[in-house]
Amino acid sequence: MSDLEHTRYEEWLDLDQDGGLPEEDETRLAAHLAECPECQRQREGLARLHHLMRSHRVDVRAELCQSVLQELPRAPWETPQEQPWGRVAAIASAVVILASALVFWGEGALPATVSAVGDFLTTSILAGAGLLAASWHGVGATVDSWLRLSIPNLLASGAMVVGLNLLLFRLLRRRGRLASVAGRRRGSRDDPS
Amino acid sequence: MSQPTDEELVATILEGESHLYAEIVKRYQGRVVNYLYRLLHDLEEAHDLAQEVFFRVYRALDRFDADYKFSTWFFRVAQNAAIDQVRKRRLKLVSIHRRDGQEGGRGDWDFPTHEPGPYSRLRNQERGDAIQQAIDELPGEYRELIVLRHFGELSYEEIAQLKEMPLGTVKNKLFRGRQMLKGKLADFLVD
Repeated sequence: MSDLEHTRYEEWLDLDQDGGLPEEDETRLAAHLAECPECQRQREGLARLHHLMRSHRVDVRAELCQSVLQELPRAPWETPQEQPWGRVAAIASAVVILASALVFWGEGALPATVSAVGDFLTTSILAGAGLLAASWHGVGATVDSWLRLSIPNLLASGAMVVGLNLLLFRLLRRRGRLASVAGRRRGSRDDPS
Repeated sequence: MSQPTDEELVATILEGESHLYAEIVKRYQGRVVNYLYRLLHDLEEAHDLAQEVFFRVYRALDRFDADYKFSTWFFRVAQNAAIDQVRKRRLKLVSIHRRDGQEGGRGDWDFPTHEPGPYSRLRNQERGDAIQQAIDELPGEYRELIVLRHFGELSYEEIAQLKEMPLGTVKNKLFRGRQMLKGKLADFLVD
């Protein structure tokens, strides 16, 4: 038998230990082993080597799995939590109620306040109908008359402006986050690290 | 009822069943800790880095391409994490420095053995040190494949995909790597 052929049988021994040898080659190898003491020794040595490597695997700490799951970070692909509209509406309503309460505390302001709020709503509706110029004028006039009434009115309108801006900011940020998740999903599949 | 494949699990996790990631962790924790230990030589560090690998994999789960094996992708992340860690520590991958007695190191191993007594523990530790030294002394590409096969438990095909190497080359290098290991560990391979 040539050295080249014998080397092939040695390679087969190696594959056989790993369970990676095709069946027909297994049969040929078995036939060769029956008459080759050298390969029998090689097989024995390989089996011991595999056993040695297997028996010196380190133990994994029992708490690793639990630790991973407890500290698992939030992934970008996870669906962002839906902001319930009820909460948003409640915040907006609270701002309006607070503003109205402050307004009604103003001395002698009740009739003028009711009229001012009514004008404000009317001009808002007109703006929605496309009469932007008139409505802005109307809003400006209403706000002006409202602010002139008292300092509490000024504070109330300030609180309302802040509240509305916060609401707008949250809505824009949520929209940006959704767009980012969609973009990542369409992105490349390269190694993340 | 057969177990779902890794790829099926990933698809289910991405649909919202994130609690199923526990199954991925259970399947891979042994393999990745052993793989990382062989590269970093520190058990504590291997555990910490394994945890980091699981975090990275989870964050990037939506980028996994189901045309490939999950194990290959997972170990690519682990491999890169190990390289980053080694760079941080400025530790040479090939090291013959023994670290006996270091806390969290080899002294804390619990070797499976059927022989009772301190002599057997000492013998076991000698074998463990010899295995690590023999692996460290292998040329780089042989060492990598040996560690991936014997400790990462990747199949030949998975290793070929991970290392972007022909299957025949993987088989050949593993064969030669084992021949070298047999020579270095000859004293421990006899009765």
